[in-house]
Amino acid sequence: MEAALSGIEHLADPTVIITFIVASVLGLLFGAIPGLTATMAVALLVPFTFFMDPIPAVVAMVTVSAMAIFAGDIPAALVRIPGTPASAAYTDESYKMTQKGEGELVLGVDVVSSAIGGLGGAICLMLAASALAEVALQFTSFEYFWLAAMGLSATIMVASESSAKAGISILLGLLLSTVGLDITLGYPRFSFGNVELLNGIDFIPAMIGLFGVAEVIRNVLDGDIDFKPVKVKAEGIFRGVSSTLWRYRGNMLRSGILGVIVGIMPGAGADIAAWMAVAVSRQRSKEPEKFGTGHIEPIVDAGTANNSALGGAWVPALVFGIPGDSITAIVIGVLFMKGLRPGPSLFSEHPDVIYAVYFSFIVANILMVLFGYLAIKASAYILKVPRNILLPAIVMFCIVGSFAINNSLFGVVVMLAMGVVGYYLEINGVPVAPVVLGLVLGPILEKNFMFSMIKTDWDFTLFFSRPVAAVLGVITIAIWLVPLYPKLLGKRSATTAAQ
Amino acid sequence: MLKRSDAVLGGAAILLGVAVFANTLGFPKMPDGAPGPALFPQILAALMVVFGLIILLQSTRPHVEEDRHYDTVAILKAGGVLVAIAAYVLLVQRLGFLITATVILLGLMLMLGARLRVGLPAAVALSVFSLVLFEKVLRVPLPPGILGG
Repeated sequence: MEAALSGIEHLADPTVIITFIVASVLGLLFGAIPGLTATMAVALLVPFTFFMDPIPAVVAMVTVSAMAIFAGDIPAALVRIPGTPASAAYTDESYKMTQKGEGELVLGVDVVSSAIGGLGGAICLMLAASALAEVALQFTSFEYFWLAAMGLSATIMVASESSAKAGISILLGLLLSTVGLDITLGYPRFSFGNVELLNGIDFIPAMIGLFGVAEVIRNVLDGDIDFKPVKVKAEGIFRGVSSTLWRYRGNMLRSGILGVIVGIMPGAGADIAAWMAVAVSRQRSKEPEKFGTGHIEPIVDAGTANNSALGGAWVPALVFGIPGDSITAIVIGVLFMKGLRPGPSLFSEHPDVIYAVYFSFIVANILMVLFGYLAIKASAYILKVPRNILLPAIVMFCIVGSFAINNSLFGVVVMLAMGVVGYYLEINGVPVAPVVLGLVLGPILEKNFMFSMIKTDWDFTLFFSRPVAAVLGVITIAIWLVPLYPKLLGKRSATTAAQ
Repeated sequence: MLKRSDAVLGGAAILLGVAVFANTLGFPKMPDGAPGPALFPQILAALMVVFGLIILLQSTRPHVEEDRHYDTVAILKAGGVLVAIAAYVLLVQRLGFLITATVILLGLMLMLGARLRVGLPAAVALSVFSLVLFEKVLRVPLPPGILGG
């Protein structure tokens, strides 16, 4: 309770209040401008969090991501381009409604369902995280090894295009994490005599390269997009919203829970939550024939789900130090940088940070209604920001941000290299976020693996000797075998087809 | 029909895996002879080869040819972004942050089609803004170069 109060007290600090406002504006801009994403916003924020206290840093990251995921809905409704990938699932539906003259209702539903989804996600986060943290206190290096292995394996499995490609992406991140002095003997691995590489590849410049530079390059390659935003009257956006949402209250509850579950799963975040919510919505709808013609139902569902996924992703991040999505992968890196080790001990040693996460989710989602309204009002201007000024500005922030971490140009070089790698992966259909997951989880995975191995005197069967570890181990191995299931099933369906 | 880009990707993954594995062979063992620093990267490298092989095999499957080629101008512009970052690394110590940043920003803006009368004030304003933000607010010393003492 004391910690809760001190958590609230921290939020009343002027620095924190300013952080809320600046982060809101930043998140709304990055979300509303197509090509800039929530992950990119958080990535560019990291150099600044480096100079902040832990609590404003956490507030900034929570607020930026929540606002950006909502704001992605704005260009979806006005110019038929999702502002972030999390809005892609219902972009066509939103735009069709705007064309029918219902743009105000869409945007109103977007902002309110996002806020409610976000609040629901925050409540689930509070309940789940505190309960799981009790359990996680009993964990040893065996359980942590399996958790990290399970998280990475799940990321490969939920990959949309190709599991093998997601696998390469993770392995690349894990390999990059092994550069520098090793944990058993302090032997310099893969540093090729370079002093800078002895300390390893700093995850911040790497991440700015992957999410910042690579995205800028992609924007440049895709060329200019001509925006002709549909005009809407911001004043009218809340008209009819409450009755619409009340009609679909069951949908919101279902999609909110779905979003949290998808968010908790490592490797799947807000975008996958939105796609799944739309799919479930169509399946369970009383009027599925209206889908695709400009129908509000899937927008309610997905708008709720993508924001509740954000809260869900923080559950494994805080409790186990295993990120639930690419944003929380960055968050874990930042917490480590602040000397805070995500995990059950964080709940007992720094409960104020945990409460700050909870409360900033709540405050950010309440602020969202006000700021969202203002962003919609300003949307015509936001969408007119010239990209030939904006993209160079982002390049400059990438450069200075990577430099600022160690005051070293080596950071800029790492960022440039990772930008090229990120772009190459992206155009070949390899998801980039798992690289960051691997980079963050690599040291955890290796440390717990090596410690467990040394502890058991190289007897791998002892990895299954503790009940929880055994369960986690069996689940992980079951995930590894997933690619074989369709083969077995496929054979059966092929024989039935032949008959 | 071979999907060439995937074949290259798979091949690159295999090469990377093999190169990493070869490099780890020189790593020392634990005092008791057990595998030490080399073990984890070796497992990763082996998995990298496996995934690379899977992609290589999948690339030989029949597929619909994707129509995604960019025009030469766009590719050159994207290269320009990379060159600009490299130029920053090479020039900033000598010229200082303010000049380097302004030149690079303006160059990129003009390359992407901004007019000079919009680009120049924007480039100067952004450079000064970054300098103030990082140097004064965050206290990150940016290279002063020929402008500062």
